[in-house]
Amino acid sequence: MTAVVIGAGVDALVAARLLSRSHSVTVLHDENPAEERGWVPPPVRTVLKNIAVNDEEPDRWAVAPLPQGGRLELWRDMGRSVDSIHRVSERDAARWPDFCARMARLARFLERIYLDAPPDPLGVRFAVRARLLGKEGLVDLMRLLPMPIAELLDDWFENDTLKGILGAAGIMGLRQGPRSGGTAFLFLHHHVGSPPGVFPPPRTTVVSETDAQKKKVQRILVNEGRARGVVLAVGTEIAADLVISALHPQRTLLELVDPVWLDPELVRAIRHIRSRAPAFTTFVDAPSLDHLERAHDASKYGTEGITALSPVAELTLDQALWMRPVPELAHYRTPIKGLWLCGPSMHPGPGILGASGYNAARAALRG
Amino acid sequence: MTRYDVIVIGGGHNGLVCAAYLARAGRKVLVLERRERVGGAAMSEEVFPGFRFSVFSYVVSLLRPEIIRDLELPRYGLHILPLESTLTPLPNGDYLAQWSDHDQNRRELARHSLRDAEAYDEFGLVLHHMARAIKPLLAVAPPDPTSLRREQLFDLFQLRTYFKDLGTKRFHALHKLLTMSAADYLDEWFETEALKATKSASGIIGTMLGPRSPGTAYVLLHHYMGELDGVFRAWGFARGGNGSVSAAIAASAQARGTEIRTSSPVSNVIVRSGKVRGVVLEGGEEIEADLVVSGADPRRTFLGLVGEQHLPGELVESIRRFRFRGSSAKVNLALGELPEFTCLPGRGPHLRGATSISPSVDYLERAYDDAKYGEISRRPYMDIVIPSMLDPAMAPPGKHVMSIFVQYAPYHLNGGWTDAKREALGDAVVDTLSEYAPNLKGAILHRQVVTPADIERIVGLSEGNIFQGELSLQQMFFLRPAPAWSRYRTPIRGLYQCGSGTHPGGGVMGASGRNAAFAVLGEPP
Repeated sequence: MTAVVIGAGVDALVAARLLSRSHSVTVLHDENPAEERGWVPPPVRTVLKNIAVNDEEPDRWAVAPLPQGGRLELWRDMGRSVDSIHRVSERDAARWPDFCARMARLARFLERIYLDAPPDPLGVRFAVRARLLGKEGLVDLMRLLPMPIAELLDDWFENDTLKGILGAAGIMGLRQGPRSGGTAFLFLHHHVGSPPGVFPPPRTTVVSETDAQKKKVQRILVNEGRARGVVLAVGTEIAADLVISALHPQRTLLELVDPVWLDPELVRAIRHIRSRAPAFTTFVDAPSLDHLERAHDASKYGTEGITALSPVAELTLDQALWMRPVPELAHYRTPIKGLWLCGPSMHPGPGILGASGYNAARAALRG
Repeated sequence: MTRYDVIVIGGGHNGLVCAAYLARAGRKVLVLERRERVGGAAMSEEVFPGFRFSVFSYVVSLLRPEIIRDLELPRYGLHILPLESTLTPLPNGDYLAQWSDHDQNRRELARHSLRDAEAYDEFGLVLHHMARAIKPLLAVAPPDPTSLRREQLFDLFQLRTYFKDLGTKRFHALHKLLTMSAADYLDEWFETEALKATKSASGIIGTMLGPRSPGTAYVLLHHYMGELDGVFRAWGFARGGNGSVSAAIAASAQARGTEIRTSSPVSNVIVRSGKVRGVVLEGGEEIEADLVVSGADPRRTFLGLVGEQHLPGELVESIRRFRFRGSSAKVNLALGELPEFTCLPGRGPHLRGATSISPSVDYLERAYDDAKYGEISRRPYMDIVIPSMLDPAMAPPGKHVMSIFVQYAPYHLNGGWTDAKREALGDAVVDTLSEYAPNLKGAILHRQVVTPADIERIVGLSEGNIFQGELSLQQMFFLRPAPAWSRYRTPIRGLYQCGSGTHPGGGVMGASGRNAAFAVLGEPP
């Protein structure tokens, strides 16, 4: 059995390694493997043995100057954070441990969901899992997912600097401000994999130097509704029983595949996947929520919105979980037999390194 | 002394609907209204001699047809006149008009974009199906998903079956509609800016969100829900103003034996050992009843009328977190002559419809930008109707009344609302509108500006929120107004809620009042 994996990232690498147990795998990519940052889930870590995985876990994860002088510092150590917050607000310091515990509970819930194909929202399994969060946890989940991060933080805290620091995790990588709905979900997404009280996205780096061949794929061969391999830009054909692409679904399905194989309704849905460039791509120590909101204001008007694109589908609630990137593709499967999708534009999304490759390869092997 | 079965606090339209249904079921009902007249925010008043206004809410869109039927409202004077068009004047001197006549609408749209004209019918069909899918949920008392009680689990399971039966395609479409921004959703369909802006405007009404914020798309459905019921598309105007809606419901309730006492503000609900015993009026009079239904908003009901000491801490916390943040204002104008729109001069049929100042999505978004930092929108979104065009009795012969719904006018204004700020808002509205209808300024005989602070003071809606609490996803269905208390009940036995602050809330719909009545009666709606 042969397989082709297209892409340079960790997802492609993980998928290739899982497939190589039963397939002879060719990995192809046309971009240099970049260093990727995020959280490496334990099962992915196992697959990545002998690849350089560097954990970077600074003790102090945020430092922001305070308007009255001095700095607000947040630490991996809960007690030190409480001490630091205490200097700006007694009330916020008292609430910090509870806030951290409740966010951690929800992040753990997401973590479990992320290591498998997206759940069926009406399924019994999902309902049971959600119930296991307990009354408070379930209410938190329902309330929090659609919320603006600004409202969540206003519910809990009074200090602007503290809210600014946390708010950044809610809009990082998204073209929205902290007052937009769905940003509390992104905040939780970025919390997945971190210990309670540490809110910037995990910074483990993976350099996926692989046995990949640097060759540009021109087309995915499809015959009788089945993927048969790929054609390289140089003209060579590589036959395969299985093709997994870690590229953006728009590139895979609208450029590499002849759209005649797809239902026009699906083509339309794929074309509508939003991947707009955000105001912030990294975690910033923002002095206030207004600071973040104004940065977003500056980016949302005019034509730049149409031209500036990010390589990854936005993680908004209508493009997350069972909706990612569109519901018809959420289970990594495409209407073309033998063609599967992975990559950060698929569930669970950016920053969860290798998870979609892991989920997709396992789904593909099950068939 | 008369002994009442049920006391309804507040004679707004939901309180009246609830009272009427209870009376219909044979209960002896007393409605207590704080002001000198019923109607709450649905009322008409002769603000200036000869000029009658629907001072606050001004159109009928979603009033449930079953309520109109069950309470025989037409018999008690309800007459709805259709608003048949929406005109969006554009800064370049052109306009976009949407007509209720299908062919006329298509021709007009095609003038702007052939593609949009093509897409419009399919868009309508998709939303029509979605509206049909979601409509039954309006009459549901949302179960508590955290409860392990048998009847709650049963209802939850039924809800799941309901969504399963929709089929995955519709379920996903519904998910998209609920979680997307109006602007993004419309971008998938249309390219004409004015069309997208005018449609997305319905998603921002009453909220502190901009058209690009996720969660604003689903309100697009409301318009199609109206169409579904055949109530002259979504928007209609009640003859005599929106006060006649309240008057008709009140008359229907009274005909069934309901007693209505106006100028009777309730100071608090009497609670003894976890059970409601009646109410105390501000004058000190006590009225006993084993059942009390509050039509006041959740903050006033729980933190005001009941008092924290009688409530579990969780609920108090949830109600404190329930967001109001009124963002809408009204400007009511008495006019000596009709406005003359530069883009469409003369006394055309467009004056019998609505006019929307929403030339582009960016325009609305910028209006929101001002408001989110605590300022009045310099160039606000406006929805304008001229009721005297449909019902000449609203104004003296030859003269007119104009009702302008304005957004955003944030309740939490920097420096607070003052008379000067109120007039500044009025000026911003008149100045902006004059750019499209230059004769307006000269035509104004009188001007009334109603800010969110005024709405709070006069009608009693907290922070002037026209929906008794924002209709955002995190405050809907299971969570409206608080988790575990979404079924019109309260932790106080015998005390119920029936206002817009409960599911489904919002607009002159009456569904909350009706659902609450069935909850009180212990029957499914």
